[in-house]
Amino acid sequence: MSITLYTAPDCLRCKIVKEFLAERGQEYTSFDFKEDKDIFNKYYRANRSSIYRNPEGVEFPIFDDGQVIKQGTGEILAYLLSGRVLEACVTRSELLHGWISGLNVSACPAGQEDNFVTLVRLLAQGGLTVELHSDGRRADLLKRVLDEGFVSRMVLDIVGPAALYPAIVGGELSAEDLKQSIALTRAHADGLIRVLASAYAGGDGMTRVSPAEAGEAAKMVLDACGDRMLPVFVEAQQAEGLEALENQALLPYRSKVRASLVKAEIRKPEAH
Amino acid sequence: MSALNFPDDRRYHAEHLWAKEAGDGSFVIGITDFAQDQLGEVIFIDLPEVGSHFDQGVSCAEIESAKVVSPAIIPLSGTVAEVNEALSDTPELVNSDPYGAGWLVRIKADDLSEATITAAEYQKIISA
Repeated sequence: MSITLYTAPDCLRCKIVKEFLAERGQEYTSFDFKEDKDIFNKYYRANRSSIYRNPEGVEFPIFDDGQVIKQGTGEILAYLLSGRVLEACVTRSELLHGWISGLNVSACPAGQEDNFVTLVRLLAQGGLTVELHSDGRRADLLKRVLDEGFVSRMVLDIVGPAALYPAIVGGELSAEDLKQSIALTRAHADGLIRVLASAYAGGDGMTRVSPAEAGEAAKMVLDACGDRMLPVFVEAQQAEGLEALENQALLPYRSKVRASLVKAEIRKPEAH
Repeated sequence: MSALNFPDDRRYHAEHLWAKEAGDGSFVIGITDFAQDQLGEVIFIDLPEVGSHFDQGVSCAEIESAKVVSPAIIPLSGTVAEVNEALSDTPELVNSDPYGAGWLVRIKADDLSEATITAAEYQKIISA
């Protein structure tokens, strides 16, 4: 299978992928979108519908092995490490300018722990600043990743009360995992805990965690950590087909969350 | 800016497109030299279907460079009579010849008296 990379000049994300391929002795062809513009432009026109553009333009590098087109350094390395198995826990990074996100430790499939740890290490050692997410599950793996010291920002997302975890993230949350994940996030220099007004696919289309359910989630957090003063942020998750929640609409969520966690504050998604 | 060119033989719109009478009453539409310079190398243009109608000031096409996707705001209301097929393989014509071979569409205008601006007025806007 022959690998083609389309890159941009002075692109750190491209350099990380190239170095990884070189280290593994994997052959590849590389085209720079400016220097080899005729080749790139032709490729772009032929594959435009599969190519993602971030707010600053086409996301480089673009990786194409004839089977899949991948963009985003995290997603490309995950694919090279273990095929499509890591797709659940390595998704598009919403962060630009040297940061990388889209890494969810809790969604790591069993047996892929080493690859996940390796991936975070490669991204950080390559020069990117890593934001890691957890929903409370897999505290053991979270500890392993954090112990390596490559995570610059740690975000713990409480997606709903434990009863809704299977519907929202497809797995159970144990009290013990949650307790440890909270402690690990608090111990991190840039750790942040969010209680999310999550959007998820319910019985009849997309639905959203209610203020009362967010309140139950906060109660669960309080039971796990025993600290009413735990700083948490209340944030809405936007989703297609659901009305966006503005600050005003988040007030009932904050009230319910404050019944357990008195320091809860509303946070805008742009504030990342 | 001095290197950019704005011919006097056509009408302009503040949103960086021009319209030039084709002789048969229809108008050829394209983007200005300033617009192509701002966009950078154009890599794809999503052109409308022949027969579609657009009101003045709305987007009739999307112009993509590696950095941005920009709407092409039509300078006159009208119905698309022809699109520049050459752009599907050579969109860079928009950069190399924005007032000639890089035209986007030809339209049958609804109303010849619709307000547009002159080359001089357009230049004033972009240098403001």
